[in-house]
Amino acid sequence: MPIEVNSVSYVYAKGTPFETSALRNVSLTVENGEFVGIMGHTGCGKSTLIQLIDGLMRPTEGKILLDGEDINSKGYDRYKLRRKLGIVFQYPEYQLFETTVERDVAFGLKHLGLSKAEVTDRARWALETVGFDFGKVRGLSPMGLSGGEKRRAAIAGVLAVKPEVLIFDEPVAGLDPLGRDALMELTYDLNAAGTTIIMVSHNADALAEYAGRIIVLENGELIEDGAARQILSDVRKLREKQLGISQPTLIAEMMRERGVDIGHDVIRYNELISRVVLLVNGGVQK
Amino acid sequence: MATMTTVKKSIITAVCIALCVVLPMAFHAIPNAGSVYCPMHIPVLLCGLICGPQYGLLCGLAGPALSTLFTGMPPVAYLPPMMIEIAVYGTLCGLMMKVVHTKNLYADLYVSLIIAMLGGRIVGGLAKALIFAGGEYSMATWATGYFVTSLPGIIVHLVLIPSIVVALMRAMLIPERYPKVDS
Amino acid sequence: MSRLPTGTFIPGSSPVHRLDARVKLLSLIALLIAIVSVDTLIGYAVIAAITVFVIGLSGLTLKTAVGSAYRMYLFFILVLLMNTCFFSAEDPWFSFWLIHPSHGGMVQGLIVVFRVFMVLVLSNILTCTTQPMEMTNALESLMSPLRFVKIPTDQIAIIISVAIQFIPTLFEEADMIRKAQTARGATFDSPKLSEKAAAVMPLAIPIFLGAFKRADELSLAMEARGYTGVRIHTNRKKACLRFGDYAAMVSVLAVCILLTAFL
Repeated sequence: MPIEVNSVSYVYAKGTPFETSALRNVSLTVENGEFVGIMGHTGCGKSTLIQLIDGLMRPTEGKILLDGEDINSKGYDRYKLRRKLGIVFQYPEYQLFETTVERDVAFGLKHLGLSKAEVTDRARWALETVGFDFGKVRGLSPMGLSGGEKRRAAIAGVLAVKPEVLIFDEPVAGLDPLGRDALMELTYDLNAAGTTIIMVSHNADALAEYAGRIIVLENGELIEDGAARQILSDVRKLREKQLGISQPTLIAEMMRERGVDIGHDVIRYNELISRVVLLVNGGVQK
Repeated sequence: MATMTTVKKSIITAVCIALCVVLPMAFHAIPNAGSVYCPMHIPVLLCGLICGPQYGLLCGLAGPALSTLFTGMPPVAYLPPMMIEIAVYGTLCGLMMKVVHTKNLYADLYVSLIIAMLGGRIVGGLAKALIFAGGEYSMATWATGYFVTSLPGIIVHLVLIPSIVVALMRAMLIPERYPKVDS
Repeated sequence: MSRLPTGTFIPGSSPVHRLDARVKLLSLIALLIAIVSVDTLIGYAVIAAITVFVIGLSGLTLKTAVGSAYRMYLFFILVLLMNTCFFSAEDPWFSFWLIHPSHGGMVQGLIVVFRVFMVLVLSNILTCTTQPMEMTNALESLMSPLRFVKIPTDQIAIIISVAIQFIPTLFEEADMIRKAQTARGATFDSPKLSEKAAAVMPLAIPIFLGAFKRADELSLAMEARGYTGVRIHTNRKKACLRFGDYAAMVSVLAVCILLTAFL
């Protein structure tokens, strides 16, 4: 189910004095089952890119292909796109609108042609996946939930469609550490079950733990596209581009500076810990 | 919170005025949005219902004016009659909500909305007649033109606006009109 | 739709841009009165000449200045037709049912079109050369005498300035909501009347919830800082009128009075 972005450019307000180029000649491919992280500064074009991939905007140049089909071509079945791709925007809790949580989650299922029983099952599955007790929460008004609960309900609404690809835009923004971990664990589980995950994030820790591949955008151009380990461990480059660096990477760098041979490719907590244990047990001091 | 402070009402009015500019743009993608949904009416009606007549009046005057200023819609020529009509909506909504207390939220809202929309169209129609053809406007043309084309809009508003009010109350952003005595 | 139109204001540094907004507003009103009172051909020519002069002075292109007025061409054609056919004048060309087109009617139609066109162009020039905040301040300043009739002009001015500042924020939020719901398969419209309201709710309700939430937060913050809506004497620096402003004001008034009185 590969997504192909072919030489895509996007210009805002073309032809007016306020014309700005958001993306310039970006090309990339996402294969089935990948976990891709997208990093970059505010304004680098990350949000524009994912909105183009999800068909919410048309590129000024270039093509977006899903399974080999141009999603912006005449006659392309938009509902197919909506079934296959799910997108969770930043602060998704703002999109809740229905009278009950169950109705809101079921909203995205309207165009799937499911039976009433199937819709309820999906809603139950989605709400339970994000950690709710279906029986308790289904009849509540979404407006009365807490902030964190609202976000989980909104995510359930996107999950209910069971898309093959899930795109997240800053999913952990505004969440406390427990909430962050819970959400990242959820994305990991979904990825393990076969869902392709594309995640835009500033949070290097989250991406380091879970992403297999990292894409870096700067000023609308794609400047890095490679294995997460390779990109996220290159501390010098990350500093140069003023991108986030994960805690384990920083700790490893500090250890290297003090002469500890911790290796140059540590980016995750468990790796860091096991290396340290190895070193201590191996008796290598200092 | 039983009633809102002046500050809260003022800022809600400000937000509704801003929405008079933003909503038509947001609805732009929907075909025929302007004639059926009349997106500019919605914030003004809400402002009048929630804050009161003087705020509804201000919203109805400033909303369309700012919209013309920022987006060019409605075109300047149509602005004066529109301002009058929409200002009447806001004012009447507020007045009716002050006067009508049926102990049922929906009943209050329906009565206020219907009277406001009828009143606004009557006054707006008169204003248009004076401006457009200096008295040559026949009653028949006006009546058919106005009511028939805006009937769908009236129905949509009658369903949509109470839903918005209820959602706002559930989210505790505005006080309940008839708070339940037993929690 | 993903980019907020910044309104009709076009940045610049022409003499017209730099005039005090109050002068521009009053000049516009004076010119409006002149346009409606004048009824000789020379008078119209003078008004057209003044308009062209102001356009030139403002640095706007003819296309921009006339733009929104030009887009009303259907309206103008309609008015022209209606006046030609229905205006009661002597000596119609022919008579058919209610329609009696005449030369007098056509002239009347042209006059109406000319007047409306001029009004639109002049208002357009005003909005193109004045920032919304400047206009709000000018309006507040000019309306301050209304305070004596118990109209809270300062409260109104604050409400309008807050509204203006909210427009970009609410616009972006509305855009995001529209995109998020579209991504969930929403179409916001339905051929059946009974479903039209329900179809637009995924867009309308979140927009209002978000907007009112911001209103809630802002009003709380303002109250926490001691703002109660009661007028407190502020020492806001009022922009002084400069020589250029006075000169412009006087010349416009003079021209308008002459026009109204003699033409």
